[in-house]
Amino acid sequence: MEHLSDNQILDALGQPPMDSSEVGRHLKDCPSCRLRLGEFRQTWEVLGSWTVEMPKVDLTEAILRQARPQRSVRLWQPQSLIRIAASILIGVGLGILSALPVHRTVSAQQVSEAMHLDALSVNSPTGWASPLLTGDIED
Amino acid sequence: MLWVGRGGYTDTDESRLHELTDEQLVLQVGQGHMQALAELVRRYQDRMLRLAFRTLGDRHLAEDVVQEAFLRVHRAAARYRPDARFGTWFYRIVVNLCMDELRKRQGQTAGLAGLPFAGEVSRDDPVHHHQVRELQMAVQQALRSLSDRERITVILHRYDGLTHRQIAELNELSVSAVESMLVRAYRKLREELKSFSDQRPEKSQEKAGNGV
Repeated sequence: MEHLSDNQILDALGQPPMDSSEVGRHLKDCPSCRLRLGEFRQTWEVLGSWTVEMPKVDLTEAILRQARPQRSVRLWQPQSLIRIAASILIGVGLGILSALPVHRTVSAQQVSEAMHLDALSVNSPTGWASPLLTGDIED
Repeated sequence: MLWVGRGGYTDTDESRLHELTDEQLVLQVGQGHMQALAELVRRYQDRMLRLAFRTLGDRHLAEDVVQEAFLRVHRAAARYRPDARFGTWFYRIVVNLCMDELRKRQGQTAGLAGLPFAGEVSRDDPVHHHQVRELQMAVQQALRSLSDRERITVILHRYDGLTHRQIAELNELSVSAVESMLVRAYRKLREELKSFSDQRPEKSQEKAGNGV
Protein backbone atom coordinates (compact mmCIF):
# COMPACT_ATOMS: atom_id res chain seq x y z
CA MET A 1 0.00 0.00 0.00
CA GLU A 2 1.18 3.50 -0.80
CA HIS A 3 1.57 6.08 1.91
CA LEU A 4 -1.64 7.44 3.36
CA SER A 5 -3.07 10.60 1.85
CA ASP A 6 -3.65 13.61 4.05
CA ASN A 7 -7.38 12.92 3.82
CA GLN A 8 -6.89 9.40 5.14
CA ILE A 9 -4.79 10.79 7.97
CA LEU A 10 -7.56 13.27 8.77
CA ASP A 11 -10.10 10.48 8.77
CA ALA A 12 -7.91 8.48 11.12
CA LEU A 13 -7.80 11.36 13.62
CA GLY A 14 -11.15 10.56 15.11
CA GLN A 15 -10.52 6.82 15.16
CA PRO A 16 -8.78 4.74 17.80
CA PRO A 17 -5.10 4.38 16.91
CA MET A 18 -4.03 1.29 15.00
CA ASP A 19 -7.48 -0.15 14.41
CA SER A 20 -8.00 -3.19 12.24
CA SER A 21 -8.90 -1.28 9.07
CA GLU A 22 -6.63 -1.10 6.07
CA VAL A 23 -5.44 2.33 7.21
CA GLY A 24 -4.80 0.98 10.70
CA ARG A 25 -2.79 -1.94 9.36
CA HIS A 26 -0.77 0.40 7.17
CA LEU A 27 -0.03 2.67 10.09
CA LYS A 28 1.25 -0.29 12.03
CA ASP A 29 3.85 -1.00 9.38
CA CYS A 30 4.70 2.54 8.24
CA PRO A 31 6.66 4.76 10.63
CA SER A 32 6.53 7.67 8.17
CA CYS A 33 2.72 7.71 8.11
CA ARG A 34 2.64 7.18 11.89
CA LEU A 35 4.78 10.27 12.26
CA ARG A 36 2.48 12.32 10.02
CA LEU A 37 -0.57 11.07 11.89
CA GLY A 38 1.15 11.98 15.14
CA GLU A 39 1.69 15.56 13.96
CA PHE A 40 -1.93 15.94 12.89
CA ARG A 41 -3.07 14.33 16.13
CA GLN A 42 -1.06 16.76 18.22
CA THR A 43 -2.76 19.66 16.48
CA TRP A 44 -6.11 17.92 16.88
CA GLU A 45 -5.56 17.50 20.60
CA VAL A 46 -4.30 21.03 21.12
CA LEU A 47 -7.43 22.30 19.41
CA GLY A 48 -9.44 20.14 21.79
CA SER A 49 -8.11 22.11 24.72
CA TRP A 50 -10.45 24.95 23.78
CA THR A 51 -13.47 23.91 25.74
CA VAL A 52 -16.45 26.22 25.70
CA GLU A 53 -18.71 26.18 28.69
CA MET A 54 -21.54 28.47 27.80
CA PRO A 55 -23.62 29.81 30.66
CA LYS A 56 -26.91 27.96 30.76
CA VAL A 57 -29.16 29.84 28.39
CA ASP A 58 -32.65 28.79 27.42
CA LEU A 59 -33.78 30.49 24.25
CA THR A 60 -37.13 28.69 24.17
CA GLU A 61 -39.24 31.51 25.57
CA ALA A 62 -37.62 34.21 23.48
CA ILE A 63 -38.07 32.17 20.33
CA LEU A 64 -41.68 31.22 21.03
CA ARG A 65 -42.49 34.84 21.81
CA GLN A 66 -41.20 35.96 18.43
CA ALA A 67 -42.62 33.07 16.48
CA ARG A 68 -46.29 33.41 15.71
CA PRO A 69 -48.36 30.39 14.83
CA GLN A 70 -48.44 30.33 11.08
CA ARG A 71 -51.56 29.83 9.05
CA SER A 72 -50.65 27.96 5.97
CA VAL A 73 -52.55 29.26 2.95
CA ARG A 74 -53.85 26.54 0.72
CA LEU A 75 -55.37 27.45 -2.60
CA TRP A 76 -57.93 24.69 -2.47
CA GLN A 77 -59.47 25.89 0.76
CA PRO A 78 -63.02 27.34 0.31
CA GLN A 79 -62.08 30.74 1.69
CA SER A 80 -59.19 31.03 -0.73
CA LEU A 81 -61.39 29.95 -3.64
CA ILE A 82 -63.99 32.59 -2.76
CA ARG A 83 -61.27 35.25 -2.64
CA ILE A 84 -59.89 34.17 -6.00
CA ALA A 85 -63.37 34.13 -7.60
CA ALA A 86 -64.15 37.58 -6.21
CA SER A 87 -60.88 38.95 -7.57
CA ILE A 88 -61.64 37.53 -11.02
CA LEU A 89 -65.17 38.99 -10.99
CA ILE A 90 -63.92 42.41 -9.97
CA GLY A 91 -61.28 42.30 -12.71
CA VAL A 92 -63.79 41.30 -15.38
CA GLY A 93 -66.24 43.95 -14.19
CA LEU A 94 -63.63 46.68 -14.37
CA GLY A 95 -62.68 45.50 -17.85
CA ILE A 96 -66.27 45.71 -19.09
CA LEU A 97 -66.75 49.13 -17.59
CA SER A 98 -63.64 50.49 -19.21
CA ALA A 99 -64.80 49.19 -22.64
CA LEU A 100 -68.22 50.92 -22.51
CA PRO A 101 -68.73 53.98 -24.89
CA VAL A 102 -68.46 57.30 -23.20
CA HIS A 103 -71.40 59.77 -23.53
CA ARG A 104 -70.26 63.31 -24.11
CA THR A 105 -72.21 66.54 -24.41
CA VAL A 106 -71.63 68.07 -27.85
CA SER A 107 -72.42 71.58 -28.89
CA ALA A 108 -74.87 72.45 -31.72
CA GLN A 109 -71.99 73.87 -33.74
CA GLN A 110 -70.06 70.57 -33.53
CA VAL A 111 -73.17 68.74 -34.72
CA SER A 112 -73.72 71.12 -37.65
CA GLU A 113 -70.08 70.84 -38.68
CA ALA A 114 -70.21 67.10 -38.51
CA MET A 115 -73.32 67.07 -40.76
CA HIS A 116 -71.83 69.68 -43.18
CA LEU A 117 -74.91 71.83 -42.77
CA ASP A 118 -72.87 74.82 -43.94
CA ALA A 119 -73.34 73.52 -47.46
CA LEU A 120 -76.98 74.53 -47.18
CA SER A 121 -76.27 78.11 -46.20
CA VAL A 122 -77.17 80.96 -48.49
CA ASN A 123 -73.58 81.84 -49.38
CA SER A 124 -72.47 78.29 -49.88
CA PRO A 125 -70.49 77.75 -53.13
CA THR A 126 -72.55 74.65 -53.69
CA GLY A 127 -75.48 76.90 -54.44
CA TRP A 128 -77.84 74.37 -52.99
CA ALA A 129 -79.61 77.10 -51.12
CA SER A 130 -79.96 79.57 -54.12
CA PRO A 131 -83.52 80.44 -55.15
CA LEU A 132 -84.79 78.29 -57.94
CA LEU A 133 -84.87 79.81 -61.44
CA THR A 134 -88.14 80.00 -63.20
CA GLY A 135 -87.03 77.51 -65.82
CA ASP A 136 -86.16 75.04 -63.27
CA ILE A 137 -89.72 74.49 -62.58
CA GLU A 138 -91.41 72.39 -65.03
CA ASP A 139 -95.02 72.20 -64.98
CA MET B 1 -47.23 7.09 15.74
CA LEU B 2 -50.53 7.85 14.11
CA TRP B 3 -51.05 10.94 16.19
CA VAL B 4 -48.38 12.75 14.22
CA GLY B 5 -50.61 12.85 11.15
CA ARG B 6 -52.47 15.95 10.07
CA GLY B 7 -55.10 16.93 12.55
CA GLY B 8 -54.20 14.14 14.96
CA TYR B 9 -52.40 16.30 17.50
CA THR B 10 -53.80 16.99 20.93
CA ASP B 11 -52.50 18.71 24.04
CA THR B 12 -51.97 15.42 25.79
CA ASP B 13 -49.56 14.44 23.06
CA GLU B 14 -47.13 17.19 24.07
CA SER B 15 -45.65 14.92 26.70
CA ARG B 16 -44.66 12.58 23.88
CA LEU B 17 -42.87 15.15 21.74
CA HIS B 18 -39.53 13.82 22.83
CA GLU B 19 -40.37 10.55 21.10
CA LEU B 20 -40.57 12.23 17.73
CA THR B 21 -37.71 12.52 15.29
CA ASP B 22 -36.46 15.98 14.34
CA GLU B 23 -38.14 15.65 10.98
CA GLN B 24 -41.50 14.79 12.53
CA LEU B 25 -41.17 17.77 14.84
CA VAL B 26 -40.58 20.13 11.93
CA LEU B 27 -43.72 18.83 10.26
CA GLN B 28 -45.58 19.59 13.47
CA VAL B 29 -44.09 23.09 13.54
CA GLY B 30 -45.33 23.54 9.98
CA GLN B 31 -48.84 22.84 11.23
CA GLY B 32 -48.50 25.53 13.86
CA HIS B 33 -47.63 23.43 16.92
CA MET B 34 -45.37 25.67 18.93
CA GLN B 35 -44.44 23.04 21.49
CA ALA B 36 -42.80 21.07 18.70
CA LEU B 37 -40.64 24.13 18.02
CA ALA B 38 -39.83 24.33 21.72
CA GLU B 39 -38.71 20.69 21.64
CA LEU B 40 -36.39 21.42 18.68
CA VAL B 41 -34.97 24.39 20.57
CA ARG B 42 -34.29 22.17 23.58
CA ARG B 43 -32.55 19.60 21.41
CA TYR B 44 -30.33 21.93 19.42
CA GLN B 45 -29.76 25.19 21.25
CA ASP B 46 -26.69 24.23 23.32
CA ARG B 47 -24.84 22.66 20.41
CA MET B 48 -25.65 25.56 18.10
CA LEU B 49 -24.78 28.20 20.68
CA ARG B 50 -21.34 26.64 21.09
CA LEU B 51 -20.88 26.49 17.32
CA ALA B 52 -21.95 30.11 16.84
CA PHE B 53 -19.83 31.27 19.77
CA ARG B 54 -16.74 29.47 18.48
CA THR B 55 -17.29 30.97 15.06
CA LEU B 56 -18.22 34.52 16.05
CA GLY B 57 -16.43 34.89 19.37
CA ASP B 58 -19.31 36.81 20.89
CA ARG B 59 -21.85 35.25 23.21
CA HIS B 60 -24.68 37.71 22.55
CA LEU B 61 -24.17 37.56 18.83
CA ALA B 62 -24.20 33.78 19.06
CA GLU B 63 -27.56 33.90 20.86
CA ASP B 64 -28.98 36.25 18.23
CA VAL B 65 -27.83 34.00 15.43
CA VAL B 66 -29.27 30.86 17.00
CA GLN B 67 -32.57 32.58 17.72
CA GLU B 68 -32.80 33.80 14.15
CA ALA B 69 -32.00 30.29 12.91
CA PHE B 70 -34.91 28.82 14.87
CA LEU B 71 -37.23 31.56 13.63
CA ARG B 72 -36.24 30.71 10.07
CA VAL B 73 -37.06 27.08 10.75
CA HIS B 74 -40.44 28.20 12.02
CA ARG B 75 -41.10 30.31 8.95
CA ALA B 76 -40.01 27.60 6.52
CA ALA B 77 -41.48 24.61 8.35
CA ALA B 78 -44.69 24.57 6.31
CA ARG B 79 -42.63 24.00 3.17
CA TYR B 80 -40.27 21.45 4.77
CA ARG B 81 -40.02 18.05 3.10
CA PRO B 82 -38.78 15.30 5.39
CA ASP B 83 -36.49 13.84 2.72
CA ALA B 84 -33.94 16.46 3.81
CA ARG B 85 -32.42 15.73 7.20
CA PHE B 86 -33.28 18.40 9.69
CA GLY B 87 -29.83 18.37 11.32
CA THR B 88 -28.04 19.12 8.07
CA TRP B 89 -30.57 21.77 7.13
CA PHE B 90 -30.35 23.45 10.51
CA TYR B 91 -26.56 23.37 10.60
CA ARG B 92 -26.61 25.01 7.18
CA ILE B 93 -28.88 27.81 8.43
CA VAL B 94 -26.66 28.48 11.44
CA VAL B 95 -23.45 28.34 9.40
CA ASN B 96 -24.86 30.69 6.78
CA LEU B 97 -26.01 33.15 9.43
CA CYS B 98 -22.58 33.03 11.05
CA MET B 99 -20.94 33.66 7.69
CA ASP B 100 -23.26 36.62 7.13
CA GLU B 101 -22.28 38.04 10.52
CA LEU B 102 -18.59 37.59 9.78
CA ARG B 103 -19.00 39.33 6.43
CA LYS B 104 -20.85 42.22 8.10
CA ARG B 105 -18.09 42.57 10.65
CA GLN B 106 -15.38 42.55 8.06
CA GLY B 107 -17.08 45.51 6.44
CA GLN B 108 -17.19 47.40 9.73
CA THR B 109 -13.97 46.53 11.50
CA ALA B 110 -10.67 44.88 10.87
CA GLY B 111 -12.38 41.49 11.23
CA LEU B 112 -12.53 39.06 14.08
CA ALA B 113 -9.21 40.10 15.48
CA GLY B 114 -10.88 42.80 17.53
CA LEU B 115 -13.45 40.55 19.12
CA PRO B 116 -13.16 39.40 22.72
CA PHE B 117 -12.67 35.73 22.02
CA ALA B 118 -13.20 34.42 25.49
CA GLY B 119 -13.78 30.76 26.15
CA GLU B 120 -14.46 29.58 29.64
CA VAL B 121 -11.61 27.95 31.48
CA SER B 122 -12.29 25.40 34.13
CA ARG B 123 -10.90 26.57 37.45
CA ASP B 124 -10.94 23.13 39.06
CA ASP B 125 -7.20 22.81 38.63
CA PRO B 126 -5.62 26.12 39.69
CA VAL B 127 -2.09 24.86 39.11
CA HIS B 128 -2.63 24.55 35.40
CA HIS B 129 -5.12 27.35 35.11
CA HIS B 130 -2.75 29.88 33.63
CA GLN B 131 -1.18 27.39 31.26
CA VAL B 132 -4.55 26.16 30.05
CA ARG B 133 -5.75 29.70 29.53
CA GLU B 134 -2.66 30.53 27.53
CA LEU B 135 -3.18 27.45 25.39
CA GLN B 136 -6.82 28.29 24.78
CA MET B 137 -5.90 31.79 23.72
CA ALA B 138 -3.32 30.35 21.34
CA VAL B 139 -5.91 28.02 19.86
CA GLN B 140 -8.34 30.88 19.34
CA GLN B 141 -5.58 33.00 17.84
CA ALA B 142 -4.59 30.17 15.50
CA LEU B 143 -8.19 29.69 14.40
CA ARG B 144 -8.44 33.39 13.70
CA SER B 145 -5.53 33.09 11.30
CA LEU B 146 -7.71 30.95 9.03
CA SER B 147 -10.18 32.29 6.51
CA ASP B 148 -13.79 32.40 7.70
CA ARG B 149 -14.73 29.37 5.61
CA GLU B 150 -11.70 27.38 6.77
CA ARG B 151 -12.35 28.26 10.40
CA ILE B 152 -15.97 27.20 10.32
CA THR B 153 -15.03 23.99 8.52
CA VAL B 154 -12.44 23.11 11.17
CA ILE B 155 -14.92 23.95 13.95
CA LEU B 156 -17.54 21.66 12.41
CA HIS B 157 -14.94 18.91 11.98
CA ARG B 158 -13.09 19.18 15.26
CA TYR B 159 -15.71 20.31 17.76
CA ASP B 160 -18.99 19.16 16.25
CA GLY B 161 -17.62 15.88 14.96
CA LEU B 162 -19.13 16.20 11.51
CA THR B 163 -17.82 13.99 8.75
CA HIS B 164 -16.30 15.37 5.57
CA ARG B 165 -19.47 14.41 3.71
CA GLN B 166 -21.75 16.17 6.20
CA ILE B 167 -19.63 19.32 6.07
CA ALA B 168 -19.68 19.21 2.28
CA GLU B 169 -23.44 18.82 2.26
CA LEU B 170 -24.18 21.73 4.52
CA ASN B 171 -21.62 23.99 2.83
CA GLU B 172 -22.86 22.92 -0.59
CA LEU B 173 -19.34 21.96 -1.59
CA SER B 174 -17.87 18.75 -2.95
CA VAL B 175 -16.37 16.30 -0.47
CA SER B 176 -12.96 16.67 -2.11
CA ALA B 177 -13.16 20.48 -1.75
CA VAL B 178 -13.89 20.09 1.95
CA GLU B 179 -11.05 17.61 2.39
CA SER B 180 -8.59 19.91 0.66
CA MET B 181 -9.78 22.79 2.82
CA LEU B 182 -9.41 20.74 5.99
CA VAL B 183 -5.93 19.55 5.10
CA ARG B 184 -4.86 23.10 4.29
CA ALA B 185 -6.40 24.45 7.49
CA TYR B 186 -4.89 21.76 9.74
CA ARG B 187 -1.47 22.39 8.21
CA LYS B 188 -1.76 26.10 8.97
CA LEU B 189 -2.94 25.33 12.49
CA ARG B 190 -0.08 22.91 13.01
CA GLU B 191 2.34 25.68 12.10
CA GLU B 192 0.57 28.20 14.32
CA LEU B 193 0.43 25.82 17.29
CA LYS B 194 3.80 24.16 16.86
CA SER B 195 5.18 25.58 20.07
CA PHE B 196 2.22 24.29 22.06
CA SER B 197 2.02 20.81 20.61
CA ASP B 198 4.56 19.32 22.97
CA GLN B 199 3.83 21.29 26.11
CA ARG B 200 0.16 20.77 26.64
CA PRO B 201 -0.67 20.80 30.33
CA GLU B 202 -2.89 17.79 29.94
CA LYS B 203 -4.98 16.06 27.41
CA SER B 204 -8.17 17.99 27.68
CA GLN B 205 -10.05 16.68 24.74
CA GLU B 206 -13.54 17.83 24.26
CA LYS B 207 -15.63 15.03 23.04
CA ALA B 208 -16.86 15.79 19.57
CA GLY B 209 -20.50 15.00 19.17
CA ASN B 210 -21.96 14.00 15.85
CA GLY B 211 -25.48 15.22 15.76
CA VAL B 212 -26.23 15.80 12.12
